[in-house]
Amino acid sequence: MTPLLQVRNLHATFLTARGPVTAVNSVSLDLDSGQTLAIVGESGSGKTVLARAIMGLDLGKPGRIDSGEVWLDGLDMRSLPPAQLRGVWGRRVSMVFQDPMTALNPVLTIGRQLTEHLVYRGTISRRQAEEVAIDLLRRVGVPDPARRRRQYPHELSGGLRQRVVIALAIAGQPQLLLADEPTTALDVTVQAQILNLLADAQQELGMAMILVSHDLGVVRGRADQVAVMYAGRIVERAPARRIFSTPRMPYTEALLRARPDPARPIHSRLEVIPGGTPDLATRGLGCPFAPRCSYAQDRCRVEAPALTRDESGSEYACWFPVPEDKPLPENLIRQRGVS
Amino acid sequence: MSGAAPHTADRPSTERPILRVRDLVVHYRTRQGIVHAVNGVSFDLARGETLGVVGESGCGKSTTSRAVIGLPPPTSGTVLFDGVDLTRLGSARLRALRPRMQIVFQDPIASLNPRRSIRDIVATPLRLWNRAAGPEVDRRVDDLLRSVGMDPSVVGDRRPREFSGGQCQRVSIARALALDPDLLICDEPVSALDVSVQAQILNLLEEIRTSRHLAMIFVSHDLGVVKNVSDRIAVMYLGTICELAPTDVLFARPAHPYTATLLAAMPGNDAISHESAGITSTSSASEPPSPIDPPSGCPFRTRCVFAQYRCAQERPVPRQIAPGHEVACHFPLSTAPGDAPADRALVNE
Repeated sequence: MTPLLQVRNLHATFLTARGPVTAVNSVSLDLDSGQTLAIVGESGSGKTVLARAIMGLDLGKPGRIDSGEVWLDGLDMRSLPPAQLRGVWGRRVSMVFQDPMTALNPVLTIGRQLTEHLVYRGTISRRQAEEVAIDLLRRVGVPDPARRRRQYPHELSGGLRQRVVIALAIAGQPQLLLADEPTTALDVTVQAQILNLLADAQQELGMAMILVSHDLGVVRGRADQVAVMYAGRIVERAPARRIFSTPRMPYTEALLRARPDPARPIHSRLEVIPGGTPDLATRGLGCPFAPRCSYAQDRCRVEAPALTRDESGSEYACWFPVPEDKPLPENLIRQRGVS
Repeated sequence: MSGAAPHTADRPSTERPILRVRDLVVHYRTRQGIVHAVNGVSFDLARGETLGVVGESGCGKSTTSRAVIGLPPPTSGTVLFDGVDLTRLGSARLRALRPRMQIVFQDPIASLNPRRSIRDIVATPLRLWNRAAGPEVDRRVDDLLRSVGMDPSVVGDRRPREFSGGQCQRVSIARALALDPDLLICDEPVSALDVSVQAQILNLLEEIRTSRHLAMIFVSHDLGVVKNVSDRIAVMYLGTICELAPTDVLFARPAHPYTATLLAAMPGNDAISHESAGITSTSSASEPPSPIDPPSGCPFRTRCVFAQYRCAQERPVPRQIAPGHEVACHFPLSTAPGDAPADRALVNE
């Protein structure tokens, strides 16, 4: 079976005053219907640019896709003219953005935004669309939808706004939903609700989902596959369980170790990744993580490793991967029975 | 409670607390009505101790931490700083105490003057307070920058925009330390930073607190971060502290249903299901009410699955249920040792 989404060798560059910056660097990935892929990376790692490129959105003035292919269920997204892309958006692929305030039109009621969307996308009358809108709002957990639909975005809380954005995104029953940091602007208690809502919608519609986040903790238990990005590249991709239990790329391991672990005693020293995220305009040869990597050797500084697959199905871009039997600190602690 | 709270014993409890806050209230007047941002908050803080303040956005955690140092001035209540009531001081005497209380803000880049060099930024407090002059200023600035892990000869003459968020936060911390404060308020100091840089700043703050014996108020929405740095944690909801306990106790045996809910909502908390433990998950009842028109009685009752008639009638006052463990709830969760918070929440249901 051909995967629903196929990305091949995608390159995207931003022209800056200091020279070209490669934001997405030879990224390839596959995603099947009904599956969730989490893309995790720090700011500047290219995860949002990748999501926008998959969606076929403009990257903004200095940015462009240099090469590569994006296929969605037999559609060549990169060669579609804008008019056809508009027909694909909402029906085949939708996006949920990080900031639910700017994703909504501030001067239209949420009901109006939904009905307009439904009338434009479908073949239903305004009257029918109003009914569908109420039903959609109910499905995404907006209480009292008949009244709420007359409200403007600023009258809603962040969590409710994000529910409306999700209602808009799933209204056309897309095959693929791109969720770009959908809960980053929200409180923890609301975060769990929104992630649950996305999972429910996915189940109901059989959608594939790409969940973009800066936080490995957020995607834990919510993805089938996890891809970790660093400096524009996918540096590790594996089934979710393996990413958390046996990370092979030192960067993934370091990310897992750097987060305060609730299982550790208070005032415990955190394991630090030295330095900061790399400046993509001045990058040289070698593995982009090498300057911060505790496993780095001479070869890492001159030759960039490609993403390769091991026997267990994990893929990683590293010359000297973390040994598979090396336990993570949290596992260590749990084994010793300290909590 | 049997000796189940090891950290209360470690705290320097014999000393007079550097900070004693009683019935702190901050109200803002808006066109929509009065915002009850902070509604009667009390706590103590000892030297060398870190109090974590957690809660959702709008719960008053930032306002509380800032009102303590008079930004904004509290509407009522007392703030005893080293025995002096800050709320009764005139502006001149308050200003004289300011060097002893410093603050590190959330946005590291916006909190630094973009037109000044790093050296200038860190030297400004020293010059303003005549703490040093001439070459002595440079020497002190060098020391401060080194103490936050920066090389003064490399960074000194550069400007904030040339640095990443993590580096700017180091500069902010160096500036806050310039006047050798007794109290450091950290208002979401790592929320704007990448995970890989967060750990560096958290370790730095810990080093500083121990080496300088600072009292610290650490405000954050991230329970994992707060747990790592705090001796005690205050959980805030709609302008009030609903639970205050030593960190280990709070995580092992939360007594307030809201605390249990927050713990359950922590991302990656495998022990507990993703469904929130104490509140219903899909309706808008699971979002906080407006601080303009807070509910009668207990502020959390509109979202609490354990709420009863009494909760709407009578506002629960904080009471001690164990040494150092205060909770404002008429029907606190059982605090028998050994239960996981989620189990208990479900049992009580």
